[in-house]
Amino acid sequence: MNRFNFLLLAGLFLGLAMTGCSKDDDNNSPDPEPVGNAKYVLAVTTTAGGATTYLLTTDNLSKGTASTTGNGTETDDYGYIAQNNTLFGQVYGFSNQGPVTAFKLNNQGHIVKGATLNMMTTHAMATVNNDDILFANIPRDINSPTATFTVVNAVNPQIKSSGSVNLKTVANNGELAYFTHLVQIGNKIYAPFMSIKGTTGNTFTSDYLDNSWVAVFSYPSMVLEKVFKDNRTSYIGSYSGMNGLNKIDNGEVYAFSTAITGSTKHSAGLKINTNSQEFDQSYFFDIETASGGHKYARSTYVGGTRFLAEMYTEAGASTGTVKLAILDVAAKTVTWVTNSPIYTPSLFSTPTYVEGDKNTVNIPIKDATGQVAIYQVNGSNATITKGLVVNGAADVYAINKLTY
Amino acid sequence: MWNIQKKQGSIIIKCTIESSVYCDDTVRGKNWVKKINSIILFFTLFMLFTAQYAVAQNKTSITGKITGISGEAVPGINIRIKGREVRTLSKEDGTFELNNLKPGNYELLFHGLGYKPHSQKISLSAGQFIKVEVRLTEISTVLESVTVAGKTQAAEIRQQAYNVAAIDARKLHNTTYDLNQALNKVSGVRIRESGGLGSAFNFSLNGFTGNQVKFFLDGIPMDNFGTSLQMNNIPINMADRIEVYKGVVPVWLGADALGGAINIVTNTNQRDYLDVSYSYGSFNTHKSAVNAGYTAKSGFTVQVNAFQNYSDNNYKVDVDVANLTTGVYTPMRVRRFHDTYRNETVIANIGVTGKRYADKLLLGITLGQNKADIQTGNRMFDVYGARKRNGDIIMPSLKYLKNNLFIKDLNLSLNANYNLGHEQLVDTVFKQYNWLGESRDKSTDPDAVGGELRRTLYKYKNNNANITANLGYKFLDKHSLALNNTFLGFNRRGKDELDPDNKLNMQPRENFKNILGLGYRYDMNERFNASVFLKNYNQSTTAFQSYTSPNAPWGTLPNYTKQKKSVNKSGYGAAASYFLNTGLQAKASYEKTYRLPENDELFGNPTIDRIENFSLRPESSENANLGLAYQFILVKEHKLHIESNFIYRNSKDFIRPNLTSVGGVAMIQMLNQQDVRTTGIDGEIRYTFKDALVVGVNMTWQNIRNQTKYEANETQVSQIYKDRIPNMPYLYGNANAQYSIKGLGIATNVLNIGYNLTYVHEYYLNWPSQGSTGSKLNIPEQFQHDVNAVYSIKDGRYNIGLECRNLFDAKIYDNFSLQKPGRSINIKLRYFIAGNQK
Repeated sequence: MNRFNFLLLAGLFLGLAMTGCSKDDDNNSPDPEPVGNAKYVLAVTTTAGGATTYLLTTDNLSKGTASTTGNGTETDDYGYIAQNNTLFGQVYGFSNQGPVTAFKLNNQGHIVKGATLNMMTTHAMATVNNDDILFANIPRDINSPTATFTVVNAVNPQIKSSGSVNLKTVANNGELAYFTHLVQIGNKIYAPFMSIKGTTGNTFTSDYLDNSWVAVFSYPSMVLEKVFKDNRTSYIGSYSGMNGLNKIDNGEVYAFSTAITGSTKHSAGLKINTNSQEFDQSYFFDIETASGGHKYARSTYVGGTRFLAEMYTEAGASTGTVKLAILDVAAKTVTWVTNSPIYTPSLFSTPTYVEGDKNTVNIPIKDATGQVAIYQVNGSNATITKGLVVNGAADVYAINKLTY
Repeated sequence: MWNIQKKQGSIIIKCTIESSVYCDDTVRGKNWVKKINSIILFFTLFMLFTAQYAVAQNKTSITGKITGISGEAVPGINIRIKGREVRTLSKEDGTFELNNLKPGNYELLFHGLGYKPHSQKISLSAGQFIKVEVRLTEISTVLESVTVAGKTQAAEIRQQAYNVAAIDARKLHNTTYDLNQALNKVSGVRIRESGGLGSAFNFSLNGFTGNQVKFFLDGIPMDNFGTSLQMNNIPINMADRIEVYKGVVPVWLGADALGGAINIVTNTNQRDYLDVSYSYGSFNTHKSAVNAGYTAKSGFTVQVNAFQNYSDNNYKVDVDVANLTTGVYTPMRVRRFHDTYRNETVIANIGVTGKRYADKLLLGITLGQNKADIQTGNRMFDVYGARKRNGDIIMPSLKYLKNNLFIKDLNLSLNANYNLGHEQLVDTVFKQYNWLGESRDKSTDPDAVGGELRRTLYKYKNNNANITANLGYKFLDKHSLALNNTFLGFNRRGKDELDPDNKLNMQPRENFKNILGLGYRYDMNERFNASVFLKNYNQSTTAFQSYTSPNAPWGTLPNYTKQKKSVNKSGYGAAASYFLNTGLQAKASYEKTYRLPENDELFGNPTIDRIENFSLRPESSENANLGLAYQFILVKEHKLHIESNFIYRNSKDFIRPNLTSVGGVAMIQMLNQQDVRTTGIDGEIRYTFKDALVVGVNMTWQNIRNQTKYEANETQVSQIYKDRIPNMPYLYGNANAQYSIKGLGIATNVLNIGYNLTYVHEYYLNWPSQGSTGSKLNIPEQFQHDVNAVYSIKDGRYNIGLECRNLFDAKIYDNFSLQKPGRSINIKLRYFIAGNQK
């Protein structure tokens, strides 16, 4: 074979190599008409429970279609929280530490990646005041019961301070205190918790299911000041649910409990007296009875005295499918949302976005066919409409609105 | 045509081939009758069993030398006596010997790649020594390349009907490669290391990864050796040859290998040998190996393979260094500081060879340990300063080989071993580290305990047992049967001394796997052969099911009930090879194969948040290969070898990790999740000039596409249907060149200079169709250049090698964000002597 043929063969291989290169997919998102200077940012995963998130921007959550095919900023992040018009994405992914990445919108309304900050793996987080974010690393191992808190400046991303607490001391019953979430109340941090065994294989089981607890920390030092409890319902919130305790517009603080199977109590709502830092013994909202036997799963504060709640569809069950209802803590009523879809709740927490009108709630729901769409719920008349369809989404982890 | 010289009672016959291909003249040696000597007989592939060890006075022997057209020595020629199980190979200098022959008439047959077959009749009288000089004609010669060699054994392997690549590891004995690095030069193979020496690695063959490709050491499954005896620490000096079977695996490698199998053949051919080497290189890397064997005349045999590896792995990396107080990152170039790896392993075998009851009976013990610091998790930002793992292997073994068991041409081999070793993960320091090695206490309370990721001292023993039996039978000259049964037992027992009452750790986890294979092969003639085979896969699992009555109070501890489960599948396949003409070979093979779920997939692993899934189905695949290889002479002394293989794989039920919620907690569970279709092509071109220059290039392209149309519980077509499987290299290749300068200094000295280039085209970490292209995370294009020089003295007895890897200090990533070493320099000293060398 002569040299020419040799080159031809080599060329053939090269040609083969070229066909292996992937083609860019066409960008097929519809051109959005500029609507003011704000955009909704959705954090979407494409495979069920996948760790890769795509940040999609859209002008309107109530109509149209969005897709991750060819669209969206690919990130390695998992949990999102917004503060100071910045979206912070933090890496969970089974690592001990990782970067928290700041995302903002540029002048064209596109996502740009900003500064990164090193952080321990986070299990709960909360915005504090206008500038801060509080992150908590909460172990679930009875043999190493120390939780750590980190306070971060969201304007100029940096760690401001940190603190730690022994969760066994907080629980004070031989088990561990596992914070379900963190909420700023006045100048304190309220941390409702569940009591857990924390042993391998029985991590989240407990002998104490008939109490509600809240730990109170000073801020920003994160020193434990007090733990107060109640015994009329079960623990507040749920693991990584990041919900359950809220301060409403009139300054009152309410807390909800699922009262999971195993507890002898009803799913209920409690009120907290922030002056005495105790549960108000004169207030008890028996959600389970008011709903006709259904337990509370998760909720979002809407406005006034109303919450949008996911309620388990099977009477008495604390797992399975849910449907939507409006809870009124003043009237102590449960109003089912008309024609609410029945669906399996999102894996860990239910992301929602409440509009400035303090009435419309955007909530992502995956219907029976597996299609994910953002639905709008009217908080005053308990109605729901289907909005933006998100093609390719397996889960929506966060909905936020950023301005530019 | 004949030159007969008489020389002190022996005959030297020179047979030159100027006018004819075959030299059929026979020599009648009855006039030179002498007493017959006896010497213990041996041959390379099969140990002949001898009837007697008479004092050397009654038997004859044949010695000889084989040369090529220009008088150069031809090694690696297969010499056998027609009709007898007597065979040998010519050595480096072309010489050979056949001993312990009874007087009589024999026909010697000479076969070797690149040479026309030759036969020679000889008649031997008692006590006669015959010396034969044979000159062979080339048809086309393929000389050795640096990585894939044309040594006869390796070449014979490659000429099988299977899609197989064979690496002549002996060519690499002067390098500091470990087996992984040698394998990385084979087309279709991609080894991805997460760091330097001893680091975790991911092996992929045509897109099949991890447990889908099985590893064997001399036909014994390596599944269960643990971390102390693995592809990333076994030195190249222990291997004679590495075989890579792609997609279709022969029956004698008993395994549920979905994508293929790798067989490492160790140096068991020679009776007496000593191979000692030591190398020192960058990052304080020390590697040494001793391979030695001794066989006495009585048949008593001792073989020892001992090796150690040590490295600080403190190469420089570009990272973001976190200030532990403020959290602010600063990009810096730092040295890795917690990545030391060390291992020491000894494999010793004692027994007998060449007895009536056994051609080989060896009792062995493998003892080894390894300790590895864990510097990072799956990302560079996930840095550790104290976390580590260690393991050991304590494995007694038995090897038995008997040819002509009861009847002629019925051969049996038996291997058994049991691994009593442990593996342990250690994480007890309650601090956070950064890339400068600085640390910060995670708690203000000095008595607080914890770990960097999760506090543990979890230690476990897998109690792995393996019994492999092979039975082969040749009949009617052209037909052979092979029967293989491989049994693997597993019984994990683990304990965390920080959590000793943990009931979950006490639950049974037993898994027994048995693979039975039956194959038939038809060797019609030199041009055509075909095989068909059947395999049966059987797995029986005993595990626990944690059960809580739905009405029980939440706090109730679950009951653990024992559960047994069985899986039984049958696979089949065929392979055929046809030489269209000398030098042009076509081959095709097909297999329907399964992979049974592994123990970690079934039982989970609490240390990595993985929960069990006892309902996993086996992965399955239909694999087909089509190959063409052509070797020929361009012009005299310029040879070319071109080879191409086309592969097709249709796979279902790939077991993949899935993030799931167990009572609201994030855990990983393995699920049968994915159907995948692969088409691919690889090609290789190798040019040789005399035996001085070899230049080669190979390229692999594989198109691996997701065939899962509907994700679980969904009715709309998946967005990633037909997308290329992510995080998998799909276009990669190697180019290499080696130049030999013989007689540099002294006639027996050789200087070899070599160069190697590895190329990997960029690929995406996540599904290619998702996200906007500019934001996608990817593993960038890789170009790695390596150079080496080896100076061998006295025909390879003393060797000095100098290597520089990653010559241009490029940033190399096999995995997303995990940087591999930059430029490194190694020097290796090696002493090698084999019993037959003078």
